[in-house]
Amino acid sequence: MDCKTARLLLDFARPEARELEAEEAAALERHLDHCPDCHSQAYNERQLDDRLAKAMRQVEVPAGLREQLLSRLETARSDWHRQRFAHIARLSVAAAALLILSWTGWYWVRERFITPIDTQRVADAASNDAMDDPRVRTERELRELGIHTPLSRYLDYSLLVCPPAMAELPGYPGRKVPMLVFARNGRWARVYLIAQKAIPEKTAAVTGGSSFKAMLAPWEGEPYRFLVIHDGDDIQWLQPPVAPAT
Amino acid sequence: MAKPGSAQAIQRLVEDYYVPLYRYAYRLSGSSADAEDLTQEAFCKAQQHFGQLRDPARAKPWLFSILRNAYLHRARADRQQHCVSVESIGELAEPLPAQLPEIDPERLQQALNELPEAFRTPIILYYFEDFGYREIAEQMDLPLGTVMSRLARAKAFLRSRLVEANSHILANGRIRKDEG
Repeated sequence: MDCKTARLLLDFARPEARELEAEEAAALERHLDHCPDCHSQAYNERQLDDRLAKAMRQVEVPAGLREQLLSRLETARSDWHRQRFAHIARLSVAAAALLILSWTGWYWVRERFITPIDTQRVADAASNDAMDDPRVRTERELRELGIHTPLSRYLDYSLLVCPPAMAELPGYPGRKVPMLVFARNGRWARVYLIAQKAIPEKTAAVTGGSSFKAMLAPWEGEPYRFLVIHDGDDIQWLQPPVAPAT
Repeated sequence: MAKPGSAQAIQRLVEDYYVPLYRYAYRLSGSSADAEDLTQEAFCKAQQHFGQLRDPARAKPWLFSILRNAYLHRARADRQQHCVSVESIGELAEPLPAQLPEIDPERLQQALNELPEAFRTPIILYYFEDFGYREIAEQMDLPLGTVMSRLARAKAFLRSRLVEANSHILANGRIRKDEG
């Protein structure tokens, strides 16, 4: 290695941050061992580096700086959480406001632009419905409620006073089941459709309350049992004109 | 709004690096008040963007980079810094005297304050935190050759202000003493 190369490599050979390959560093050291001029320059440069590095590091750190930094960082973290919470709260309020606005808008539009009702159309549709077989019509109306079941053959569906509806089962608050309302000559009966698996096996066919009686219509394998609540002694008036053979 | 780093992780960062970071900030800015502000700002930014630090071993250069960016941002706003012109910073230096005096830290800071930031940062990193040429180049996003050139010129400038001036006085003092 010549002196020019050695002097170029000196800065890369600092003990604190060696950046030379091992082979290069060894070659440089060998040159410095045998070249008094380069050795002297290397010594002086390193001495200068030491002096400058020492002076560079002589900075007094203020007392309490560490605690001050940690405290400030803790505050910044709390601020972040507070801002995030506020951001989420603002988003929630905006979402709620949008929901209310949408509902209000929809309601306003509905009220302003409600489709006018043609009463003749209503009368015609009701007449068409009346021409359907009552049993077929009732099964269709139950399907519209999500209830798929054949109807009991022991009831006269021409006696229904209104389409089937979901109603609360007496004695079971909150439990809604399909209900059919029958009436004839001042007598009336409510029929509740109960899922077959909800009726225990040994339930009596007839049970009596103080004012009303309950009767389970004969079961022929339908997914629902028909529980008749009536106010009389018998329910023969509910049966279709030609009673099925028992 | 990125989630800040955990309290424990940040505290570890502070414990490990607040001293060198403050000293770096002081040498960069020349003022203890500015150095405190810069150190605080650097750690706050580090906490805010903690997710960017993928490798814990890179924490030091990462923090130094954040601090330098914060310093440059402030320096742009304050255009009253008086620095020597780059052209006056030559690379060639006189041979070192045999007797090297100790260097006064305050005089060192005065000399550093005269250097433009582009020369001040590499010389601080070189002596202060023993960054290698490659690390300095990475830190400042500069080619290696540019870093080497700036370091050589900054070092020559510091020598002329701190070492050769002292030697001249010493020499004069000796001459006067001899004459006396």
